[in-house]
Amino acid sequence: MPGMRHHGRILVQLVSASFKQQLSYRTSFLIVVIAKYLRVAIYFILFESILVTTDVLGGFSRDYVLIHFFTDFVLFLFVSTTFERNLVFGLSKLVQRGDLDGLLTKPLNPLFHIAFYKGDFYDFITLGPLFVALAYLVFRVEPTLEQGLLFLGGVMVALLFILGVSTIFSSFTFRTIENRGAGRVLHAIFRSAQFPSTAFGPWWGTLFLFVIPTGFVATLPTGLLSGLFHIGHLAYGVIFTISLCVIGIWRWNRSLRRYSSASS
Amino acid sequence: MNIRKYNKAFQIGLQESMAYRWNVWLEVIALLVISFFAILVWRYISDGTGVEGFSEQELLSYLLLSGFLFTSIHIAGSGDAVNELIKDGGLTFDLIKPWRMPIVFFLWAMAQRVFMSIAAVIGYGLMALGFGIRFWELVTIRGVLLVLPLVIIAILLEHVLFHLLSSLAFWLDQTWGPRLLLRVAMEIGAGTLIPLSLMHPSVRGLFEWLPFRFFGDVPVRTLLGQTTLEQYLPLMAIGIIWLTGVTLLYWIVWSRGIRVYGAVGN
Repeated sequence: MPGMRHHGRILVQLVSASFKQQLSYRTSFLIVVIAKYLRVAIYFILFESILVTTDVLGGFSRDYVLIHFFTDFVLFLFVSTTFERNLVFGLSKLVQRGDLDGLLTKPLNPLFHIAFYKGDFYDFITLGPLFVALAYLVFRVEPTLEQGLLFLGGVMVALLFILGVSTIFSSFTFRTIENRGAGRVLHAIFRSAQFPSTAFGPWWGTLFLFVIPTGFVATLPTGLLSGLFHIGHLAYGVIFTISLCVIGIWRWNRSLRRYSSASS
Repeated sequence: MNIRKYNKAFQIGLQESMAYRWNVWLEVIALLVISFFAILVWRYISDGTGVEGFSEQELLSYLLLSGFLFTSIHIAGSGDAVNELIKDGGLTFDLIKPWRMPIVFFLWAMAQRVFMSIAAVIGYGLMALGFGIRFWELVTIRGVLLVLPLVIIAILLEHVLFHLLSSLAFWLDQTWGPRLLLRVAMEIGAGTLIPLSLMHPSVRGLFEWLPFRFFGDVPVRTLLGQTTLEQYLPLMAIGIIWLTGVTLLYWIVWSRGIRVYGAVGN
């Protein structure tokens, strides 16, 4: 527990430093936040337009499609505020500039430090109202306690899934150095999560829900809430994501041991 | 003499793209993935019967071709380098060279587009085969001839729009936000995720006034023979008006920006 408290305090310091840094470009900060809201609005319109052409999308009625939409955005804004961007794009820059060496000398777990060394406050500011909208939509469908707990379980699986994939991805950075293009591919694959995986058809739907399970991000929690999925699906998600995280940490430590410290 | 200089700039751009060819490929794959999922969803919705007046082949051809055009026209991170050059003060070294930087920026971008287009032809070709999208059955010769001027307008428009926003870095330092917004609006407005005619009427009305449909919807409908000559000429006129307007604005912003540029950075 003292270790957790120590890391918690450091996390607050890192986040606060990032916030101050990002606020130094106040006009830009404001424009980026407006841009982020408008992006959500544009995608919302996209889904509204899709729902005009069909009543049910991938087994989800309109209410659940909206829950799916907001779950996806809230989760991605949350992980982007915290670890995802640092692991997928940030580490590459640290390695290229040689700044990673400085970070490694500090008495902190390197994976923790790198994952949280910069907080994205653009996404944090955008996150709040979307979280409220999601909570409103979830309560509007009047879930039972069991459905609510399953939904939260699904959300935890989604977070672990993104953490596991990001950690594995970042472990390759030590070898590839430049990974902007690969990072964009990963983001594009993650973006598939904005559509219900069940709307990809039986074959592709199964693939993206159970094998390359981007569907864990929003389709699993929404499916658990709506009753489309049951506790067995959640159990599969838990086992899959925990395995993914274990592999991620193992690979990350292995790559770190082979880090040559050479930079440009 | 001038042409030789700019030819050299274009060659430098080509060499840079070659040096980072894997990155170029991956950028294209990222856009391919987005189109892939959009096609999957619409194929599921149309369920072999089509949607709102579109047959399934028409709908999937539209999405595939608009994705292809968007990938070939739009450069991921367009304007990033210009923003960084202004913010970091690196532009100083380029300004003392005997060429006009806006033209050099365009040539560098064109060099990258060459590689993006080759990669896009291969990637989208494979996707068409994989999904059994026989778009060539819908494409007309008249459409191919008419689409070329539209594509040129779209390329110029994309370049000028992003560089106009990047040039605001002379005052704002960081222009990532407006460019992010432009990119998202472009992606939707181009019709890569949903055909414009299937959008909510109020939004469709808005996008019909904006230039983003020139990055996908307008050329694709022309290519598929869905645009009559009576519709085509006003569309061309609108494209030229947009291009002239934003180019003029870019020229004003750039020339004023150069005057306030401090040649220092962080």
